[in-house]
Amino acid sequence: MRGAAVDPRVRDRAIDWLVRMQSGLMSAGDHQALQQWRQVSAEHEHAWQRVSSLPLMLQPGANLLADATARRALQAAGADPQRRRQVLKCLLALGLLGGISWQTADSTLVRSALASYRTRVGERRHWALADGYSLWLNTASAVNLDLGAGQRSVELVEGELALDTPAGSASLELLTPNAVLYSHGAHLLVRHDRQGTRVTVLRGLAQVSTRRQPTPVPLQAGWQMQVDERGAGRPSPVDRVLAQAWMRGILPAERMRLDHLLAELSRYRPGLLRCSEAVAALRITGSFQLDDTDAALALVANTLPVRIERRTRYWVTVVPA
Amino acid sequence: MHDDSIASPVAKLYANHHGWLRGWLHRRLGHSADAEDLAHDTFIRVLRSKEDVRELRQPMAFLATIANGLLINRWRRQAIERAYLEALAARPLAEEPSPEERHLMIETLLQLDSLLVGLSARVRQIFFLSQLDGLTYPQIAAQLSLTVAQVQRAMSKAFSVCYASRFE
Repeated sequence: MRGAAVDPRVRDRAIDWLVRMQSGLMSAGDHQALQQWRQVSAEHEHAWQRVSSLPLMLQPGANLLADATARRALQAAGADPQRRRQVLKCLLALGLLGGISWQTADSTLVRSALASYRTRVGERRHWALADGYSLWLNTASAVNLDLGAGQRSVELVEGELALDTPAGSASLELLTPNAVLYSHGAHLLVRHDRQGTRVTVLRGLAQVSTRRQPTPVPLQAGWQMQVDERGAGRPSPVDRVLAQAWMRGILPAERMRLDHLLAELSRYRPGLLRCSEAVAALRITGSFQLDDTDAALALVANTLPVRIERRTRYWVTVVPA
Repeated sequence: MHDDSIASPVAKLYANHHGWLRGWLHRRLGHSADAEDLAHDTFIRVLRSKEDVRELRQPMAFLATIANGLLINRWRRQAIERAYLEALAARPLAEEPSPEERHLMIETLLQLDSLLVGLSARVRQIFFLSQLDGLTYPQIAAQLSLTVAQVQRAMSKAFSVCYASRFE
């Protein structure tokens, strides 16, 4: 039932007429006024024809609502905030709402000047800090914070963080064992592990310096850079949805080598997780849950010609099927 | 590797992202057969859409958007089914509808629900009192302890949503 679109103002006027018509309060004068309105133009008449097909009993199947059970069901199925939240969560999980809201129900408001934050293996946490700063820590991470009056300083001891500072906030220094970053009101992802430090800028700008290169290199939003003992690597573009996937508990893999995937998954579970040489180079595409690495391993076994061998709960090897 | 010159763009999209999409749906549905079905439906939508998939810069986001729409429809169906079964259970003892009758009932309710998309239970109640019971706005207002203006606003909202579902 699609045809020429009706001007929204004409449509709304026609709906107003219908609402009045259905009120049980239409006077003879109102009926006359409606007639006059319809005769003003073909568009008015067209809009009226449309709205007059809307009363519920004219809809196919509406006679079914004479059944009290059906009626109650349709009424109860009305949108409720719970469901809206569910849909919203799903959209958020996709980053489809543009900016990601950082406020989460379980976030803790922290206002101490100097504090350290830590997560266990498999744990992921968010803190809302003073002045609108927002900090996420991924699994097995540790951070020292000094958000005092002067220079604000964050030290990533190990692991991975996301730090969002509101635009216009004071300059911030972020230290890792390999690098020193300076930023103002930026949104950064920083990860430190045996391979070095990876810096990702989601918003704003960061100046990156290393022990080898004290002169800072600018890193723009949408780019990332690997820094290690030898210095800073070349910036590469970043997919912001994928880069932030861990905050939603997801490890996305696109044609990822199996040994790389297992190395990533092993960050989220205690014990050893390895694979044999024979299957290390197999490629896998999928989306893995960080909160259930056993399910992730089952998905691997379903997708690739491999078998999961468990010596103990903490010693898992992936071998050819 | 796939031969790019032969494979259609959608086939390529399928080959590259089907596994990921299925995993994504699986996590949301907690059921692999359903996830497989919905992943399949998603690609059918892609085939029918006019989007040139070779131009996609974010193929995963594109697929996820379509799959999300299908998921929301599915949640809608589940909400209707649940509401219907609850309403059935709340009835004083009566004969049970057969599975076929139930299925037809739910299909019809789903169709009616699609006209009322996004309307709250309260607005639906007001709408039904007017449309099914033929009450006037002052009668509805008295029954629900509302003002006539509140009833009028709810009716206006309900008809606007019906209009949008039918014509926009």
